Amino acid sequence: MTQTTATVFFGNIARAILAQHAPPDLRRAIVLLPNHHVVQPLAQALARTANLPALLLPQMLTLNEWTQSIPLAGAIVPDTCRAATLYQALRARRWFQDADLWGIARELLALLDELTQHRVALPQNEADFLAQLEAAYQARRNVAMQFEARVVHELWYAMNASGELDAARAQQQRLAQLAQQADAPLYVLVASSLAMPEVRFLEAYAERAPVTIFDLREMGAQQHAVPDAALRAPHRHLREQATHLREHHPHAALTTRLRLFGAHGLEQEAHAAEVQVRRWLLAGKKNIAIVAQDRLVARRVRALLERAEVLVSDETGWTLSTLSVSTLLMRWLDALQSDFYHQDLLDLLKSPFIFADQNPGERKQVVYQLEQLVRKHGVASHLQAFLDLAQGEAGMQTALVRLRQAAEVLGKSSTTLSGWLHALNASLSILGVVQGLAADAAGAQLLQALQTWQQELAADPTRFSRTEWRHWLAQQLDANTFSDKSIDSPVRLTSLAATRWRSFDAVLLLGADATHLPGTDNGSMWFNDAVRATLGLPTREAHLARQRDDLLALLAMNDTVLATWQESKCGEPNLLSPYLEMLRALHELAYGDDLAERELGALLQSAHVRSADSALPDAAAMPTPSVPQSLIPQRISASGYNSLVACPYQYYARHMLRLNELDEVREGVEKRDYGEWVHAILHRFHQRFPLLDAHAGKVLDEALHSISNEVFAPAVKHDYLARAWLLRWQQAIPAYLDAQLKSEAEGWHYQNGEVPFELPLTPELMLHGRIDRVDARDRASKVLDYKMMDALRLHNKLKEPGEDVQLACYAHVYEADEAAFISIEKDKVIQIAPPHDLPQLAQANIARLTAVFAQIRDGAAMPAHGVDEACAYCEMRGLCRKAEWA
Amino acid sequence: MRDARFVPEGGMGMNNHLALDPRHSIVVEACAGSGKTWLLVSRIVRLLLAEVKPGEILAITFTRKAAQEMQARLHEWLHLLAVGDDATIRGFLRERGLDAIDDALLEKARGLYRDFLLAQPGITISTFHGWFMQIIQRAPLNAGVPVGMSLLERTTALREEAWQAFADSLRAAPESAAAQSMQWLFARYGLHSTRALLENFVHKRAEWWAYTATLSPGPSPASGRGEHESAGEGAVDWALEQLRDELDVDANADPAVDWGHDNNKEMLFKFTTQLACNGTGPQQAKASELEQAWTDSKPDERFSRLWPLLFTLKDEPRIGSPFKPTTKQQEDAFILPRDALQASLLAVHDALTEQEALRMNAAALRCGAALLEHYQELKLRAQQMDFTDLEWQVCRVLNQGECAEYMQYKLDSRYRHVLLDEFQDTNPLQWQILQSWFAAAAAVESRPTVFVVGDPKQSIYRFRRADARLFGEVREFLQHEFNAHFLTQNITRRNSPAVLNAVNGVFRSLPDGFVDFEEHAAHQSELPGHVEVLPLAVMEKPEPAEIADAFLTLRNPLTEPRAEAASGARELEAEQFATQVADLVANWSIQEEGVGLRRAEYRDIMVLVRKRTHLRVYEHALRMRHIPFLTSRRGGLLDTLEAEDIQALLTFLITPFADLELAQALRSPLFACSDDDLMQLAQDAEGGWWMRLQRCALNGSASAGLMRAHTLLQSWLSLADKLPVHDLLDRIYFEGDLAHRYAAALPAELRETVHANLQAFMEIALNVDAGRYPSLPRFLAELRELRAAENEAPDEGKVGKIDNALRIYTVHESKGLEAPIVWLLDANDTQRQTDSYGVLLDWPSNAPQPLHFSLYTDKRGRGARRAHYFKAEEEYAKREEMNLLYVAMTRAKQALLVSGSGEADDASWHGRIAAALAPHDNPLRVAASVITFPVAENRAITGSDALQFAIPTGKRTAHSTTEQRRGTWLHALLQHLAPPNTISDRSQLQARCGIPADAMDALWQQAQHLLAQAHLQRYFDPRHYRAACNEIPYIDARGELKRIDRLVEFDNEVWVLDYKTGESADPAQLMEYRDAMRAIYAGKEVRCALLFMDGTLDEIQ
Ligand code: SF4
Repeated sequence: MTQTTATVFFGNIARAILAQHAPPDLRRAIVLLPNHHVVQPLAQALARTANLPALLLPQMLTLNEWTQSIPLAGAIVPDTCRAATLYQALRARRWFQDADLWGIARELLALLDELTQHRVALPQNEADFLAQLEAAYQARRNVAMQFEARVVHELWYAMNASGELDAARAQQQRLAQLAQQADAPLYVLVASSLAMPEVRFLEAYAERAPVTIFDLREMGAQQHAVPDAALRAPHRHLREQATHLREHHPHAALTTRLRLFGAHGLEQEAHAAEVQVRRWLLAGKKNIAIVAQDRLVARRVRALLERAEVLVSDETGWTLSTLSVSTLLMRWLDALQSDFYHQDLLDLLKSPFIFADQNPGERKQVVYQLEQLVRKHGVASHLQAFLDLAQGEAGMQTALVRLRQAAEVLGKSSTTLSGWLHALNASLSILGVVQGLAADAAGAQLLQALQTWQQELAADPTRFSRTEWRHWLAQQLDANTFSDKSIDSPVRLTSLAATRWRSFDAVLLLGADATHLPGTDNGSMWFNDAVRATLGLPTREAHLARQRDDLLALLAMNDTVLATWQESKCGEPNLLSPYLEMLRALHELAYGDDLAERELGALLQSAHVRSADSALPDAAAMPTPSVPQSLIPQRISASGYNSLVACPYQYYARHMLRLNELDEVREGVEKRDYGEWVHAILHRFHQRFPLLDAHAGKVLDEALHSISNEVFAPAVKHDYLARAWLLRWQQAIPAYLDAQLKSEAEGWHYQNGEVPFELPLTPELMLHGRIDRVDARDRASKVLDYKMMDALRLHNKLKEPGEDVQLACYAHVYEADEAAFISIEKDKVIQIAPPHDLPQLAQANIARLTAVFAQIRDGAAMPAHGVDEACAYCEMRGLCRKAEWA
Repeated sequence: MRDARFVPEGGMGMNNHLALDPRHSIVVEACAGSGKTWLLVSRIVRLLLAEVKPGEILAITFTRKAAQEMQARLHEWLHLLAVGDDATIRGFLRERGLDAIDDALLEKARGLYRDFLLAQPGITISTFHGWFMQIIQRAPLNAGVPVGMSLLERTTALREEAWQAFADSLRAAPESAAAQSMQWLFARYGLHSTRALLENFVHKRAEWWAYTATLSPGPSPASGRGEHESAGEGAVDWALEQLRDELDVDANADPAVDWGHDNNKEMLFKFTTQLACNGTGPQQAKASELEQAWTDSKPDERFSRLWPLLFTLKDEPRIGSPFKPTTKQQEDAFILPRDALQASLLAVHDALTEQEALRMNAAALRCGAALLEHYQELKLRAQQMDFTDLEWQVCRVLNQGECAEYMQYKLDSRYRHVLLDEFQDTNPLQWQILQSWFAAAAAVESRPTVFVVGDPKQSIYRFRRADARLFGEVREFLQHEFNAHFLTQNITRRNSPAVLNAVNGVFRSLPDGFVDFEEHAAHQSELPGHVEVLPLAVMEKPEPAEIADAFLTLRNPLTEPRAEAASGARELEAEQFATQVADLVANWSIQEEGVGLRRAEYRDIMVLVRKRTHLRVYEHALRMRHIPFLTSRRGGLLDTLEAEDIQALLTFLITPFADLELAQALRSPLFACSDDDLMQLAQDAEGGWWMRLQRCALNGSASAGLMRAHTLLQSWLSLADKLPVHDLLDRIYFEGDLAHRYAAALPAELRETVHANLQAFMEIALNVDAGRYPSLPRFLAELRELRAAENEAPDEGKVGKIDNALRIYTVHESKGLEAPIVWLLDANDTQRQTDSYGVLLDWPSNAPQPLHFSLYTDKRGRGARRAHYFKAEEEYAKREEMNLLYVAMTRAKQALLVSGSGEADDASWHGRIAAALAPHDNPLRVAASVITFPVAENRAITGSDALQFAIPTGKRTAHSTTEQRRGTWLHALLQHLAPPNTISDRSQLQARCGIPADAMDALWQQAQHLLAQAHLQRYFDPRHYRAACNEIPYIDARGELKRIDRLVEFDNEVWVLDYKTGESADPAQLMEYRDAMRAIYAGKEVRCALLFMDGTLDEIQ
């Protein structure tokens, strides 16, 4: 078997260590590793090289692990406390209006830590600091810069004055101590330039004990030749470089080691990655890394792999704020803040983590019941309103009462952070959330975090308002991550930085485009690179160099790498990572291979794992159900009839299947409310004033206004905008009175309003409904229907006989001689009658209705052939599926 | 696009030497298709060759897509320079205006690629907004820019929220001035128009702030909160003051009342005398009516009584009979007093209109400002700002002298060369910002060179506040201040001569708003082309139906569908269009670079409409012919049936009582249940549909389809509240076999689109999950919001490169695109929708702020004083209309087809192009056998490949029990408590081992107790042994890594201790340890023991 590149590297290191330390006891040596995954291959290399039955291994650890083992003189002030102190300092200084002080505090802390780590001491004098900045910015002094200098300077001193031990300082102390105590030989594995604090430490250590550094960048020239030439060499001339490579490293081609796949869009990239991983698995690879530069694609890949029952273990973490356990927390606070706005409330109650002491089935039942009530009665918020709604429903009552109790616990307006956390925890206990979270890995970690913060902050006396606290909490949830350790798999999701010195059977580099590789940090809000360089802080350059080195290390350590990226995104071009682009160019020039992965694309079409083998559906076509007797209604209203005429299938869905849209909680006044109210107003009005003629205009006007005000009052009280609707109606009042008087002058008298009726047409069919109004003149009668619609539209409705059946049906019921819509618009009120002979029209419509019903009973089909106008607002379009018929 | 470029020297092209010379500032006005991008990117190459660092270059273009394309092109060229041979490079450089090409230059050209790719900081190629974002993130702390803001891309939901908050504030204070004003507005204009007006005001807030900025230089008007309230009020008062002056309104006067005084009586009677004298009957009657109106009313009513008598409802003077002199009357004597009277009334009317306008402005500005405050407040609370805020904040920052200067230092990049693409789309505020930037750069002595390309003829983004007039202004400014050279280019690489003939023909005559037009010339003078204007589709007027039909026969809805209502001219046009497209794909050929002559395909056709209103009609016609097409329908992705299906399913999963949603899911291809299935469920009248489905699945009466639905739904229901939305959706897609089932159910031409839409939906879920605090209900609520927000709805899935479909765009969307064949639909429509209820602005492009800002309502309320603004607006709108036509026509590479419906209209696009056209043959109607796009087959699913099957890999470890966790903790405690390296600080230890506080006490006790036991002192008290260590790793011969809990060395023996904290002991393991240690401690006895947590030490033999 040929050795992998990585084995060669580790073999070299093992030989170097064994040359200094006699086996089998290597315990005196200390090896600093970039991460603990490297322990295994290095130990194995040592065993192989030493070739003994057993070896006591050197101390192999990361620098962090090592420093953590050094005891400290004092306790470390946790960052939560420092942030609170800093916030308080910022708040007191009133420098930033309207700003998110937590955000600023966070950025400042990061800066202060960096200053500590890099042992930057600011000059005592603010003016000196300013001068320093001025020089670094190469700028003239100005107010903005002065302010920046002042903020940093003042707070640096304020925070340092306390002399407290923070994490950065502690680390410094520990490193110093380690270097002081140095006695064992130290071996260090590095893949890129060390950060300043580490360099200092190693220098100090080397004064007392030998330090050997294994730098991946300098090992294995062969494996590095091309990538190194492409990315690290200072040489600018690609063609010469290519020639040189070809001559000196004829075998260095990456052809078998690295491939690039450009995808069209996210789904294709994810699919390609997933298929490649499965190909590797099929080829017997045991240890596969997915290096996720683009988390979104990674998530998609993971889901696709799970389809093929390939589980992925995840070394990277998920920000707490993106987890559903945190959603619950925030939704609870949202609900409190919005006085239990129904969406927040229902969302909260639908979380599986609440009321965990209850049977989940019951809990869900309660929520659904509540939701149905809320939708039906349109209750938008207020806990009390929900409680009223749930009268007599024990399950709901209990749930809501628990919410109330929990809310009371969090009722204060200001307290300390730990006070808030304490209250939060208490409220969560009441809600059975603690129990729910504890049963979930992420939830348990969240609870743990809340508890830790509460303890850390126990002594902090600063008081915060509820809003400030919420911001704090949100920031904490953003800043902390959860990693899911529950999956053990040969396929692992990891990050570029975590691959240092690791080798895998195969590596998939996901999202290798220019945006994600190198990834940009947004930079700190303080200073710029020039200033940071002057102060001795790391610059963006260093950040990028590290990523480049990590990429080079990855390519050096691994013999099979596929990098994928989206060549186009939503039809826009998307560039490959400049590193890989450079590499590709050089490689193509030197070895005539552009590294493109060409097989994969062709495979994708057919490489889907499918779950189902159930028969595929037939091509969609217009449905034409014929309906069994038991579903044929015995009653029909005018609007039902209208629907039947417009589209039999629509009628079928509405009245035979009896399907309805869900009620929505409406928060503002809508047109249909307006219609209802106007109906109610006119009904009341005419009950009081059947004949207008008998009254003075002013009396009528006032009466109608006052009735209107009464009817609108509840809405107006609730919603300012209802006034607009009221005004709109009020503007129609004079026109309405005019029209009514005119109608009276023609001899028509109001007779009755809101008349319900039920009229058997056949033994099996009853016509039912409610007539807005009936007028009489001598023996004659006229049915009327109010419509808040312009006259033209109503005209059109009535133009074709039998297409709008409402008036015809009413006329039939009342044996009316005339029928009309009353079109009510702003300053225009007109009656519109059908342009046909009414008795005949009524007769024809009823005859057709009974005939059609007879046909339906005989099994006639109900075709879905509404015209576009009917379909435009038809809620049944998802059932008839008109859009997909061939 | 790749090879579109400026014609090299010697051709008819312009001077590339000059245009690309890095030392000069340049303004280029270049026609469509002339290769502006080529020029711009070439200029960047030249800059780089001139040793300019990438970080010193700022290139701004109009869309992200354009920026990406530019960047891609740049990389491609630099790559070419790096790998090309000398001749290639020389050719490349010569094309870009370089003559003296020596070796050093070649060398430099070769090195650019690497230098550029790895440069830090890199080049900035961005949109204005992208660049502004960079600036704002680095804005000085004291600039009053809210720190830590994120960009809000969709504003509809927040605007709605602001509107509600505003309404609530009015409800809380119904007597306040704002509430009174609102009441007034409602009464005048109604809810809908009032809201439109106020929203338009909010939309134009940048202009508002700019207009009132001099007045209120407060720290940040955009941050709107508490103390600015008064500033806001002040701004309104100030603006009203300006308006009052301009409208010349005396608030205290009532012109109508004044008019009724006796001084006007004479004028009236002079006319009535004429009217009556020799007058006809009606004239005499009218005369007395007029006189009566005067004498019978009080002075203050006279105007309103007389006005309707002398003016029409449209406020036009009545001059027809009876107000027309008859032959018996003397014309002058009649007309003069009539006109005088009407003029005097009109003056009053005008004054009243202005008064009304002022009153409206007073009310609406006040309310608008209050609404705006709510909107700003909401964003502030959410730590967000939208594009307008961003622009304004940047403008503000850069207008504070010191801040602007500071920004020059603060950015890591220092721009010495600024390139601006599509400059005609820039708005005044953006130009302001650039100017401030230049000024600040000059102040720190690094004034950049500026390179501007654009084409005022292609300015079509007025609705986004772009102003093409800027182009001229800026040109002058740059010529004056930067010594810029001005160049023009009218040779296009894109269009065929045939298309250009039509373009020249239409614009040669300088239509609306054009003041000059240079004829375009084609670079590809041999490219065959064709322009055709189809005859207008007209509808025969249908015979009016006999209404009084003696016998009414009504349609039977079961057997006879209703006739589609508007079977009109447009439908005919659509027919014509679809037929022709079919013909075109069958019989036309096009010329493709690199391929040659080939058959025309659907994807070669770009269909343009000016507005989306009637798209449905055309789509219908295409669908009837099974022509595949992609369209950017309003409403977008979420309104497609497939997206609705998924939404219905998800809704059902969190509200299982949603019967209709369940039914829709059942009917969708996902389950493809039949109507019989639905009727079966409907017949069981008890409980919700889900319950019924469960019941019939249990009692065995369910069809296979229902059974499958039941099983899947059951499992998804149990996951719906646990899985993140994306993961849930993925389960649904996968387990439901979604892609295949939709493909099977749909007609072929819809498959690609639907497939892409389903993916796009998945992507939305993925993005939402990556956001904060996701949940399924929230996701659905967000979708509802997206759906409600018309213009902000997500795009439908864009199918990758591989689809062969005709594309339909609006002209606005087509900007920057091209196609071999362009079809301009509905080109005879000349109706333009103008905004009533909006903001009237006068912002000359070189002015730092608007000179006029007021609100207007419907036509009648506009008044005479502002007429010149409206006129200017209208003219500008007309010009833009012509620009749109220019853009539309120039999209066509080879063929342009124009169709329309209705009465012929010379001023319509159809009419104009038709007039410019001479009849000719169609050279594209030739046969070609080459087809590049095979007809898509339904994808066959082949069997047996191993990649179609699951490969079970990895396992989920069980959640550890409390006992196990306690064990682990105790283990960890012992490790750190046993010497050497004992950690004695309890809290440190706790942190180190990650032990929760409530568990620590007991564990601590237990560990301490254990270590204190007398019989164990031999192993734990350093006085008793030679050496000991904890957690000792070793590796055995098989390469397996092991860890021993504790190893204690005595003089002649070595003990291996294994802590047992619960799990069952494995003696074999211990034996292995012993064997290994024997190999290491050769010569010493190695013994091993299990140490139980109660202190029992159990030696293993
Ligand atoms: S969408 Fe149209 S065809 Fe379908 S049910 Fe509704 S009205 Fe009938």
